[in-house]
Formats: sequence, C-alpha cells, structure tokens
Amino acid sequence: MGFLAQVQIYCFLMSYAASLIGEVWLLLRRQSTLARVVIIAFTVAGFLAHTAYLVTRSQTAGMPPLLSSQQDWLLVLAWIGALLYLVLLLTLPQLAHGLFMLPAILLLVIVAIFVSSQAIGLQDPLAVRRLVMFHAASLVLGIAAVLGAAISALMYLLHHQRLRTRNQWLQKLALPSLENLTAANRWMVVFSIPCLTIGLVTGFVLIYWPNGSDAARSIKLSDPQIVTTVVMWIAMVAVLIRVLSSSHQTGKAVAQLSLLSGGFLLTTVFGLMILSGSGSLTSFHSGSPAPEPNTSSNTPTDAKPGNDEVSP
Amino acid sequence: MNVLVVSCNHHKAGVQLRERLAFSNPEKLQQAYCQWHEIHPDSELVVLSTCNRVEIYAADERGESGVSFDDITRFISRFHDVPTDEFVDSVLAQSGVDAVSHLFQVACSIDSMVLGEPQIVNQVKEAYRVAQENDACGPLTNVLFQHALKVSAQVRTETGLADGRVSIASVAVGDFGKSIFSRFDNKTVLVIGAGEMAEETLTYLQSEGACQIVVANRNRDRAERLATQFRGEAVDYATLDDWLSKADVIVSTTGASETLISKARFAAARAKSNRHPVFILDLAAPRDFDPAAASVDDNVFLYDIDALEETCNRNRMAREAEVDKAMAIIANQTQTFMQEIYHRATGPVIHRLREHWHDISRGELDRLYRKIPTLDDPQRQAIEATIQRIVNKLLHPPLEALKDEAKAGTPEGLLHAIRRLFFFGEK
Repeated sequence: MGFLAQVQIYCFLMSYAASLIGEVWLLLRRQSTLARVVIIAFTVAGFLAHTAYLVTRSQTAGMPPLLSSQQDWLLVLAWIGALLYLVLLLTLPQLAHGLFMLPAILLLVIVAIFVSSQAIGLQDPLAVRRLVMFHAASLVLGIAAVLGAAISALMYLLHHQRLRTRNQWLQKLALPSLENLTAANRWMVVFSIPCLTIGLVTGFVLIYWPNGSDAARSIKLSDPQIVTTVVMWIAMVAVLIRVLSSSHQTGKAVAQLSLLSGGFLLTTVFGLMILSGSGSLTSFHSGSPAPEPNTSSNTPTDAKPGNDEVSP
Repeated sequence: MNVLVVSCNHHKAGVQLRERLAFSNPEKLQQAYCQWHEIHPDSELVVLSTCNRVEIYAADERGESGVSFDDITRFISRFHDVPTDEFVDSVLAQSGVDAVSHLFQVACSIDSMVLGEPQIVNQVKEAYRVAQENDACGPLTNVLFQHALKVSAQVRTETGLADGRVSIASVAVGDFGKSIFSRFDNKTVLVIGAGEMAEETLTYLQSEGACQIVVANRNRDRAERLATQFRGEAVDYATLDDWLSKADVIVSTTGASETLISKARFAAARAKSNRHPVFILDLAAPRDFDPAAASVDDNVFLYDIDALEETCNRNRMAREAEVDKAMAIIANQTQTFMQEIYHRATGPVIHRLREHWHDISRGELDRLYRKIPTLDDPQRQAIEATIQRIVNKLLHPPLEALKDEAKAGTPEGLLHAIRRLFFFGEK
C-alpha cells in the first residue's frame, strides 16, 4: 500500500500521453507490432496507476471517489474512458480509437489538476451519502455518455469526409464503419438522457429532502453547475428527439448535431469546474462556501488549483 | 545432389497452354506421381498446379547423374500427350540455387500475378502435402518445401508485401464497403447488368454475408443466370427505380454507352427512401451513374472504377516498395539453405576421409607399440599427439578445398576425386 500511496496524477497522465504518441506514430508510420505492444504496455501501466490513485484517495478519505471531490469526479470519468479504450485496444487493435479517446482522457486528467480536490458532504448521514453517491454516479455516467457521443460523432465526420472526398491524409486513419459509429453515437445519446435525468432528479431531491443535509438544502437553484446540468439535459433531450423523430436525418447531420451540442456542453461544464476550482466562481459542487450561514457541514478550505486535500 | 524445376507459368505461357499442362484434379496428380515413380524411382517429385502455374520440382541425391530437365519435359509430354516442342519454349527450367530461389519467390507470392496474394502459400503447402501422401517426397524435397514455407512466413511477418488489397472487387468490398457497413447480411444488394465484374464483386459481397441479392438486367436470361448463381432474385428491369430506392448496395456493370442513372433520376429514387446510406459501385466503362448523383445527399457513397483503381494502385505500389526487402530475405535464406544442402553432400565424404586416415594412424601406432613395448604412458601419449597433429595437418588442405567448393554448389568433381584418391572403393 505504501508504494500505491506514492502514485501521483502525473504518473498516469504521462503513461496516457506516451500511449497517444504511440498512436500518432502508428498513424504516420506503417503498422508495427512493437509499437502496438508499447501502446498496450503504457495504457495498462497508466490504467493501473490511475486505479491505484483512485483507490488510495478513496481509502484515505473514507468514502467512494465519486463523493470525495470534483477532481475525483473527473478522474473517475477519465478512468471509465481509459477502461473503455483498453478494451477497444485489446479487441480491435487495428482501429485508431486511441487518437480520439486518449486526447479526451488526457484532457479530463489535466482539467482534474485544475479543479477543486476538496471533499464534499463528509459529515452527511449515511442515507444522504448514498443518495449523493447515486446522484454523482448518474451524472458521471451521463457526462461520460455525452463525451462518448461527441467522440463518436467526430470519428463519424472524419470517416465520412474520408469516404466522400478520398482525402489522402485521412486514408491512413483506420476507423470503425459508419454504421457502427452511427449506432454508437445514437446509443450514447439515448443512454445519456436517463443518466442525466436521474442525476438531476436526485439532485433536486437532495435539495428539497427535509431529512437531508443542511449543506444540500442551502444550495440555490441558480448555482452555475446546476444551471449548466439542466441546460445539458435539455440539449441532449432535444438532440434525442431530433435523432429519433426525423426519419430523413442523415448520419452526418446527427453527428454534427451531437458534436456541436456535446462539445459546447462539455466545454461549459468543465470550464465551470475550473472557474469554481480556482475560486473565480462560487458553487456548492466545488466545495466553495455556500451562501447561507448554516453550512457548517461543508467545511470551506482553500481550493487552489491542484491542491490535493488528501495526498495519495 | 540436385534440385530442378520446370515451370509453366503466367509470365511465359498463355492460359491455353497452362490448361493443357495442368494437373487439374487429385486423380490426375496421383496418376502422375505413380508414373513418375515407375520411371524414376530414386528421385523426388513435387507438382504444384494452380490456375497461374504448373511447376514440377524434382530432386535427386545423385546430382548431375540423376534426373535431368529432359526427363521432366519428356514426362510432361508423355503424361499430357502434348509434344515437347509445343511447350518447351514456354517453360522455365532452373536448377540448383536458382530453382530453390524460384520456389521461395513463389511461396512468398513475389512471382504471383497479384503481388503478395495469400492463396499461393496454401497452394504450395497443399502441393507438398499431396506429394507426401503419394510417397513422392524425400530428404531433399522435405527440407526444401519446409524451408520455403518458413521463408514465406518470415516475409509476411517482416515486410508489408501482403498489406492492402489490390483487386478492384476486393478493394470495393473490403476497403470501401466495410468502411460504410459493419455487416452485409441485412443489406439489399442490387446488381445492374450481369457482367464479369458484377460476378466477382458478388463473390466478395457474399463472402461478407450478403444474402439479399437482386439482379436487374435488360436481358432477363442473363439476370436469371447470375441471380441463380448467387442465390438471388432476378427482377424486372422496369422496376429498377424502385430498387434504386430500396437497395443499400448497388453494383452497376452494364455495357450501356451512355449514362444510365442521371442525378435527377437518382434523386427521385432517393426521395422515396428514408435516405439510408447507399454504397454504389459503378464498375462500368463508360460510367452508368452520373458522378453528380453522389451529391444528392450525404448518405450516398458513389465510387467509380477510377476511384477503386487509384486505391488498388496505391496498395500495389506500397507492396512493390516491399519487394526489395522480401528479395533480400529470400537471397539470404536461399544461401543458408544451399549451404545446408552442400554440407549434407560433403559431410559423408569428410567423415569417411577422417575415419580412413585415423584408422591408418591407429594401425601404425599399434605396430610401433608392439615393436617397442618398453614405452611408458607419457611417451605413448606424446607420440599419439604428434601423429594426430600430422593427420590433421595433412587432412586440412583437402577439407578446406571441399568447404570452399561447397559454397558455390555441390563439388561433385572434387568429391569424386577424393573418393578415387583415397581409395573409398568407388571408381
């Protein structure tokens, strides 16, 4: 355990970056088994370090990573992405999933460095903590699905461009078929809706639950992250309605729509996280002091970027 | 010890001659092996017969005094009842290192019509298996064919010779079709026309799982024939527009002299559909589809023969760039193989020469010890070491000469001379 406790964010950040360099190498050069093995080795190493980091943090904080802090939220999101990438790397090694998934994973880890690592809801009763856990898990899965929809949409558009224009450079990109990308995109959009809905509903329950924590009841509906999540939910529902209702919608139009909405919403969510983490914006979810005076359970501490409350 | 090959392949012989000389079925092959064994019981034989080549590999431990090119051509002539002068100018005859290198090139598909094609290695493997079954293989052909398969695997692993597809139909289905659709078993394939290209493309589509095939052709009989061949359905040519809107994959190969499907006609058909992705292969020359039809909507993927040819050429060039690498491996492996073979040929002679000289020295030493029985052990050991050194120094020049000669081929003359000079009992 002593060894695991020494794992830092930079360990897996560097491993994922090395895997990305390997993927770019494969794109520019001929297929090489050695490069493929190196990519797998770095990804596995990064994933193990990532897991060890989250487990250590969870054990030190005495609660699941999703309940600890915004930083852990993002790291769990990146961990889900890394797991998915690893599965795809081992099952479909000939496809260049890594060129799209690894930048997203790296971005999540980098954003995690700059958001608050302060724990939320440490002293809530068990029932509340369970509901908070459910709320957080639903939202993380929902955001992961939105991110997945945006990535598959980007892959679709590039592949579509490749097939329609026969661009020389794009010819080197080995991507899944348009049919698979369309299916992945649609399923991600469909999956994100119930997850985000459950996340939102449980969030409102936490605010209005008479037996809930004081801290949760002190949250205002104008909290920037609540507003963003509601907007994200409305946008994804709109996309879903568009996807399902229009029979004449081409895959390209759906992909453009998902990429645009997903990209914009994710930028807003992560942007808000960074702003609230740096103290430029006040939000309950970042562990910032709540506006009401009765927020004793949510001990405000400094929320400097990269400041780990619990050193792994 | 010698290896010979007589090859009638697509480089030098036309398909008609290749057909006449082919060992087209297992019965014919078995017959050939039987006949060969009756005529040349001491030699080894492997027959490789494919649509692009008929090659006869013969090997003989007796070297130049064994089986010859004339024996092989006579055998071919008698077996197929084709006069020798009708094919002798269209065949390639090679022996020794050239024959070995040729087999390695064939197994690596460098000699194939489609560079890097994967079928040939299986055909070589099968030819070797059939020869073994017919007891036609021996120590030389066993080593030769096993080495050839090993070289083929090495070339495929270490070079990009087999990367990318190079035939129009395989590129169309494998590169483009599979980039659009993940499966074909739930797709409707419409074939317009019933040409050879349609047939070839359907073969690839069917191997990918396509089962809903409809054929529309002005000549209903030809449509029926093609549809039956691929378990599809021939439809009335007048219903073409309906099928244009329903089909997921369209293969067009008519011999029409003008554009068959204009943009407006295709747009009208698409308007009746739900704009599902459609993959169109226009393999006709001149083209059946107006190129502007590709812009009807985003889900239309139209490829003509030029676009496919472009990909084929790119893949072919990429493969050709790997030929030098493959040839270097083949040259290296040929040299290794030949040295092994020559070593096998000279090995017994070297062994016998050593034994002979050491027997003589042993006899002379025994005689000396009987004459001078007072010699103690250290003295005897000193004398034995001296005699050993003398024998080794005397053996050194002929053995070195043998090794040097063996680098260039089986040193038949030198081996014969050594046998005669040192009284091995042979003349």
